[in-house]
Amino acid sequence: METREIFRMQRRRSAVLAFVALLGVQTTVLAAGNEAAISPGARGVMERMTAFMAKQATFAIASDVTRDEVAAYGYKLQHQEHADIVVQRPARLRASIVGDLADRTIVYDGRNLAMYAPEDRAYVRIAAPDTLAALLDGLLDAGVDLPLADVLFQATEGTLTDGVERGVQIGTATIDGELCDHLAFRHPNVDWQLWVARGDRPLPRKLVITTRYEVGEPQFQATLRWDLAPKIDAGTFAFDAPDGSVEISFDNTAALRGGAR
Amino acid sequence: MNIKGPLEMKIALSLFRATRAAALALPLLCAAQLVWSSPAQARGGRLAQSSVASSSHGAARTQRASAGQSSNRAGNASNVGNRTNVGNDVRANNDVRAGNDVRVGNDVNIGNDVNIGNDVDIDVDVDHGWGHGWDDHPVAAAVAIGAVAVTTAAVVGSYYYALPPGCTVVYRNGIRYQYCGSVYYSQTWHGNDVVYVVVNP
Repeated sequence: METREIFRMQRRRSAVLAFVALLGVQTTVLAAGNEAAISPGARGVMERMTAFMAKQATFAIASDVTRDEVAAYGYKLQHQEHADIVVQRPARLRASIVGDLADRTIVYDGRNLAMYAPEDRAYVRIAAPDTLAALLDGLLDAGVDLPLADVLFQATEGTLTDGVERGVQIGTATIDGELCDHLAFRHPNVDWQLWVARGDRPLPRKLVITTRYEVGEPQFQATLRWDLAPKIDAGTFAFDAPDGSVEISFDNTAALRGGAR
Repeated sequence: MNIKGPLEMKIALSLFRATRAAALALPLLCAAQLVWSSPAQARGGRLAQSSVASSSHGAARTQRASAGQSSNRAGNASNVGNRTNVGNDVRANNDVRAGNDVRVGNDVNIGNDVNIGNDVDIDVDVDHGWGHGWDDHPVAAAVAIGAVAVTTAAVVGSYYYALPPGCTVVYRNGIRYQYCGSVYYSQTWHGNDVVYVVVNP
């Protein structure tokens, strides 16, 4: 093993140890607020990433996702899905999800939100907030599980680290052939890790969310491939109800429009 | 230290028992398959949280917790919600893990929700045996979603993932309902799922 490599491993290990040690004293530090909770290194990576994402007017993400499910008796299953998301600021989004648990198409054109469930041949079409940021907020409030909501949220509002108890830079790792900074964060109910590409395209390449206080500590994992110049055709942000599908009601319209906060 | 030996033995034993348990589980499974027409939504367990941002969204968290929980616990409406208890309790007590074998044996059905649903029924019995009820789980107060809707004595506003067989589509004042036995259901989008809610048209 090369000396440099060993050095890097040692550095990585010491960063992990430091992270663990810091977690131990987090309660006292918490009072000091968010600023102190995130290490300068981790903060720097997050800021660079957020600033870069904020500059992208149009982008597409192709993501492979796994979700753990803890079934009876702690038996852990893993479900997979693939999500293709196209975003055009300030208020266009299309997400296509194909997965073990469900297939979904979500289309937002700045005025209306349409969601289609092919297995039920049912869709909703509802008036939506007029910005992507407000829409994401509303979707989270209404309990709609949009894949990579965090990444989109960070790209629009940049407040992912609000309420973080601890955040550090663990070291570097190669994701999909690209050298990334590996960050680790702790929120009250979840631990999460983010891998952000180094170089001139500081984009998130991998996300892992660990649900705490849940038997089996199920994880959500997503790897992301970015296209910063996606081809967008006229129909991308328009929803055409498929033949034979029925329109149904949405039971939490108030939350979607920000009424339930 | 001779840890490896006994461990291996234990695993081999349970697999052996599993193959026998599978034979027992099959008839139950078939029955469940007949009833559960929409297994994809009748999730059996607790899904990983998929968003950090949602932790700052109170409403979403509550809802999601309830959706995940209810998802599935169901089987029959009256027992919705008590699975978390059962799962945890049984798990804490290793002696009860014999029941686990039924699951493990059904390899064919892992990932197939019907099997998970099948467990629900088994669990319900276990649950009663252990004296845990719906009422003593604090989270059970949240929205609960049953797996298969009922045909009589439905409470208006109850949610279900799937309808029983034999429902007919009816229109009242231009609105589409499913009429099952003596109960009307309206299809609605709840969180991430399409569910049926009991209505009084």
